[in-house]
Amino acid sequence: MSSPNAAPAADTSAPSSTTKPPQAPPKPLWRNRPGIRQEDWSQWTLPPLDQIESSFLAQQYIQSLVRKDPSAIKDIVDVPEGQDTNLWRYEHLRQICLELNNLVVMLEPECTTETCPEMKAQEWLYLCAGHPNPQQCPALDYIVHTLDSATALLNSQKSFYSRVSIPEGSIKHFANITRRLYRIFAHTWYQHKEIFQEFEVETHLYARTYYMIKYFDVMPDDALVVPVEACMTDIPPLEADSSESGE
Amino acid sequence: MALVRPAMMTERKPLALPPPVVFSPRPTHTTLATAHSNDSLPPVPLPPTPPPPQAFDPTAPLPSLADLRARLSSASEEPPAQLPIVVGTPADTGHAAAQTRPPAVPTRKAARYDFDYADRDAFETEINEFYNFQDHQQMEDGRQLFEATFVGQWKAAKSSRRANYVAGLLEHMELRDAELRYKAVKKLLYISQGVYGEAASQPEHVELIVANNQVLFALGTLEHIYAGFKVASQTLDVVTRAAEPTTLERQYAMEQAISEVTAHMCLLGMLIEVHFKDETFATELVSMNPPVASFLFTLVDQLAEANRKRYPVKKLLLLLWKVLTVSLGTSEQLASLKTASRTLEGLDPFDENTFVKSTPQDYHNFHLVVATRYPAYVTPNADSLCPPRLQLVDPIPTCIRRQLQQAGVLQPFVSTDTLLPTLFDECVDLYRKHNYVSLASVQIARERDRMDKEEERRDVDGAASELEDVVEALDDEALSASHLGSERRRDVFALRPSVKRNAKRIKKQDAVGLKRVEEIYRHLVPQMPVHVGMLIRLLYYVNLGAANSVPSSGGGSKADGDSASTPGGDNTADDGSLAGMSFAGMTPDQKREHLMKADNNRHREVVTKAISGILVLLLKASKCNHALKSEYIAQLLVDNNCAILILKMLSTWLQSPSANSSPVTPGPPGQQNTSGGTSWAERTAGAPPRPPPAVGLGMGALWLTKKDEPKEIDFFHFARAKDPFSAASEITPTAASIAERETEEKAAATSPATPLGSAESPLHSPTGMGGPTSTPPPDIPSSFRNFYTSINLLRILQKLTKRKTHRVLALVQWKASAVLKRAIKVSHVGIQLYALKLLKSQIPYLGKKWRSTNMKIITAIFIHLRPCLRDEYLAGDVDVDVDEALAHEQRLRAMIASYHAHRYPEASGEDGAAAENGVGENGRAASPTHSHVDELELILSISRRGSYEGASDPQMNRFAGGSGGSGSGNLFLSSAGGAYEPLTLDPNFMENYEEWLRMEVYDSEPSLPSPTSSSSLSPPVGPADGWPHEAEHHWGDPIAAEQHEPTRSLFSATRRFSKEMLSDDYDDSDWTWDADDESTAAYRVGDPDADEYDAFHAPGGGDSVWADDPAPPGDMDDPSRAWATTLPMLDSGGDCYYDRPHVDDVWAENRDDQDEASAHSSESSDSSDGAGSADSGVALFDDLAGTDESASGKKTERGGSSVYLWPDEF
Repeated sequence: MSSPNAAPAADTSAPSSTTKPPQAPPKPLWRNRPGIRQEDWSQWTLPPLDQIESSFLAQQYIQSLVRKDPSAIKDIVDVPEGQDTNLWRYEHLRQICLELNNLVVMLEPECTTETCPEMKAQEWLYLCAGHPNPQQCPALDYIVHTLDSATALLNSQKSFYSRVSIPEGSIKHFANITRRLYRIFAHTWYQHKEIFQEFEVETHLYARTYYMIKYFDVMPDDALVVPVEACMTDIPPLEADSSESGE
Repeated sequence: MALVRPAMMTERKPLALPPPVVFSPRPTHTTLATAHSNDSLPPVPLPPTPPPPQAFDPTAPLPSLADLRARLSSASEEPPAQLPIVVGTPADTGHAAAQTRPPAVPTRKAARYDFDYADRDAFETEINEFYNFQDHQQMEDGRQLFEATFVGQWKAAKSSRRANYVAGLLEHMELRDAELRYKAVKKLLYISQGVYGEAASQPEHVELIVANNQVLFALGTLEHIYAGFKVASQTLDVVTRAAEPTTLERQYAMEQAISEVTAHMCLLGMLIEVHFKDETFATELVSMNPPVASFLFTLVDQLAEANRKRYPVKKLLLLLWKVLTVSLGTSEQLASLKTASRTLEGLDPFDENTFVKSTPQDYHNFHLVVATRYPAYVTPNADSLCPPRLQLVDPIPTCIRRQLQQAGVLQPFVSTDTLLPTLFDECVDLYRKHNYVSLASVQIARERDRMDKEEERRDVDGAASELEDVVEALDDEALSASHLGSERRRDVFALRPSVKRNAKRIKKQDAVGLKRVEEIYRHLVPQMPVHVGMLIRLLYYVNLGAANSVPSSGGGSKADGDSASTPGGDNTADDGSLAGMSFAGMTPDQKREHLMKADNNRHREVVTKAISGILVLLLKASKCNHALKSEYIAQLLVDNNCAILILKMLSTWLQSPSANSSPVTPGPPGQQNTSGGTSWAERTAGAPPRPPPAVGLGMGALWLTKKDEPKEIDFFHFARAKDPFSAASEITPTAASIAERETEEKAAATSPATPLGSAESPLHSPTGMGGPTSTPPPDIPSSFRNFYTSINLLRILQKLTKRKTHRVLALVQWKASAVLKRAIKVSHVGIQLYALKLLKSQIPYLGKKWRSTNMKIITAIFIHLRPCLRDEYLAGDVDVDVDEALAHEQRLRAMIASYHAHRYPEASGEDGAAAENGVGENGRAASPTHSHVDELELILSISRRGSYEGASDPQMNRFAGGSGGSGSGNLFLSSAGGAYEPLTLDPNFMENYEEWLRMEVYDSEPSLPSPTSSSSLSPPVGPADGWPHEAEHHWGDPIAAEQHEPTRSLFSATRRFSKEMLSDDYDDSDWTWDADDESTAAYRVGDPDADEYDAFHAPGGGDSVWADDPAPPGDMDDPSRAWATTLPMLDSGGDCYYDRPHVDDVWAENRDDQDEASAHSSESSDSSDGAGSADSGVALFDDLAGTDESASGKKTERGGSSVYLWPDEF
């Protein structure tokens, strides 16, 4: 909202009198102002990446892409030129954590201690790693704990103290986090298929995650327990290897 | 200047002599670090002596002055070089003059061990030691599984594929199904072990190990493994606590759990070993939740539970040791931590090269004495030497009380130009120059200040005021945390300005290190008594456990190979079956037994090594942070009888080889340690018992020399073997044993074979002892772990007793000097050094007679140890005030308690009290509710308050805590004087207290164990098994026994020392550590049980040497005996040694160490049959020279054999 305003503002700020020095265009603010209408919510477009200056550059960019078109997987996931790959991955993981919360909300009425007393995905039973001693938790608890611990880890000062660069020693956390988040998808697919499909159609989160896993080669194929057709959309081919076209 | 004319009263210029050339060695002291520098002691440069006169030729022309000058100058340039030549020239043979001159280079050096003290052994050795023989099966499983699932070669695979594979495995580790997890772990383990199936050679294998582990760590394996480890341990815990452990499923479950735990441990071990120096690894280890070190400690505690028979204790302890090293720091890191701590306090870093030390207390004493005796002279007081505003010195120390009572000297006049005569000025300067303020004293002083202030405050308003604590507390952790932004409550405290200022001066790395130490300590503190108690118990059971000395019935390894038989059992079984059998001739079963036995032996040694390493680390690292932390650990160690245990262990290990040589029998427990080594000695084609090859190598040789172990128990060998399990049936003799057999086939008795003829180690050539021109013999290969253990134990003992009169007195009472004197005879400076330090602290209390008989030791102390400016240990009768010492000890304990109560209030809670009680500190069960004061306990504790126990008595603390309002169940004394607070008693009690007193107190005296009995150390044991690592050891029994009969700390028994102990009659010559031990009763000749023992050391059978000559000379330290060169053994009593036509003659006569003698005989009276055996088991290479078996040749050289440190006398 403010962005379109910025342009005319820039125009009008052009001085009419010759003596005033030209003012720099005010920095565009991509924020939802109080009183905004629902259809206008977050309706700004971002300029190309290299023209933005912001500390949260990657996050903003990714989010705007997602908002524009959640199914444009390749655009969203592929690392743009000049961006730090690790940072990109980090931001993506953050985004996934954020969006998975919606899935949890959707799951909550369905996935109870009675229906899913353990974290199960197609015969694989998992231990919840969110505790000092790994233990068995019911599925929803597992999901919530995992999400919480992943979020905490991604936000932790010790491992990820900066939003513009990732320390070397923290890179290995990506694989762990991805694996655990993957299990959430796995459980949902196998135990609560309708919810999964409903969620997927809307957000294409699994497809994106799947593509991301393949793109960054995070998990081996045999660990991807959810069948490919769960993506419900075309997965763009990867450059190096054989393409994984979706269903 | 002179007022009076006569010459004699004027001040004269002194004679103008040239300054004297200093020939004394440069002032230096020996440290552990310099101990293994390759040169021996720098030879004392002697003043140039003129060459011995040549044979006088009257007809030759007189040499001119120029000639003489030339000869003299050449002589003075190289006196040392000349000597050998001179001695060797034909013109001089037999010239008395040459022989009387001491050679510049010691002509006969005892062979030295090649041991260099380091934090850990070589990489491969450590790995070898980590694995057991029984692990091989598991390793093989892993390999099969891996090869089944991984296509192609690991070496050749792309890194992405490898990463994927590992990621898959890590995924599996989070599964709930234990089977799947276990499989994944095994595969990971195989990878971590370097995929040895693909390694063609050992170096490649090692490379693979390193590379793979780095990959694994990079992929985050540590986290997963640790999590899995926790899960597995928890499962194991649950299973073992299950009600009926005997049902088959439970047993199976337990085995499964144990295997899983073992696999995890192996993996962790490999990771740690490879990343030993890695900083990120260390950070991760400590930042786990809980820190890995403290988790491992909790596992150690759990060992105290029953049903832990097959637990992989060795791995656990090794892991703990390594983790502690990595987390707390290696020696260098600890040294820099120490410097950082000093900087924090504003002290300068300590220069290792300072030669003389003097503390402010010393100066203060001097100042007081001078002030008393020479009131006219005013020396500055000690404040200038201490940090500001800190009272470091005890204002009126008791040690100089006597001096202070002397009246001052009346002085006729005071010179007005100077305040102090030159003498005093110089003294003051000297003190100032050598002043050293120790970090510990500063920290303790601050703590004392804080305690006092808290006291005052409590008196005033009854509750410690937090705010002021905040301001005044010295908070290292707060400080180091501020570097890293931690948010614990204390960290927000205001720091003293000076600390803040200094904080900026220390390196970030050190701050991190200090913080880590603090972190780990914080986690350990709540259960510290249990941790320490467990460690000591383990140490005891491994080495001296009562079970060890009892032979198990039928020995033998169990069929499944999972459990090994007891050492004792093995020995009996093997002796019969293997004595005199050649190796190749053994059946597979017997070979297996051999391997088991060797494995067992190694197991024991490795466990001991681990425990000793852990203790040293704990003490050192905590001291770098704060002295009182270290003091706390030391206090716990002392209370758990660590000191006496160490002494006992050293005593059993440091035997003269002559007594320990034969094949073992299950007699004395100490012998077990050498059994693994000597068992190989049995493998000859020759006659049964042959001389042990280690003879003549000096004290403790068998313990300290490198042992040849069958390679089969080694990890690397297993990895290399083509078909590992068939190898068990045709174990090829190792190259070493082949070599040994060859040497045996030569003239047996005389070959100075290296211990067990290891092919790599050079045979010690007899020429080493030949003459002055010979090169010193090659270094003896040393057993790293045993050396490491011995040095560590000595260090621990020294740390425990340093500067603590009370504990030193305890040492004196236990006659530690006997053991320490033996330690000095080991020819390695590291061991000698610490033994000397320990002796130095005891010398003041040992009496004049001891001093005069042990001048050699005092000389060595003088040469090697850093002197204090005012070294008074030789200063004659010390006015020993035992009560004062005791009071000192108690004050220290109170301070420790207060420190911990202040810093770690949550730690001193119910658990602490319960734990401490459980360990047996006092046999009372802690009352379940601590909220009310138990009057009975109260009264008792008041009655005991004079003793040290009162200081740490939980009941008393509860009382003090309860009424003082600072919380209930306070384990630690909140104030030393807490017992005196008013209390109200139950009126009923008050009426009947007399009755109660009579019943409770007077009629049931707790019996104190005598200080010399080791009964408290050997609780009754259940079944007669030893302690193997995975066999039927009933942990439960000794533990239960301990709880029934509370093990009183031996330390307590000595709380009042008898003065007579400290008299001039102190005599440690006939003391032996074994004599009082009931388990060694079998030693005594004439004891019906001693038969097997006799067989043991009477090589030829028949009457033992001791039987013939039951009382070899007792007074080993009588200098006239020990060092007389010409004391022939042939005289009186010598014959009995020689007329046996036995091959063992050679070493029979060497069996001369007095400790052995007195240990194995019932009396140890002085006998004058000077069986020259007075020269205690020192390097006697020359005795084995050539094939000369004649006694005389040997005897004359006997006295000349020199222990490494002793200055040569002849």
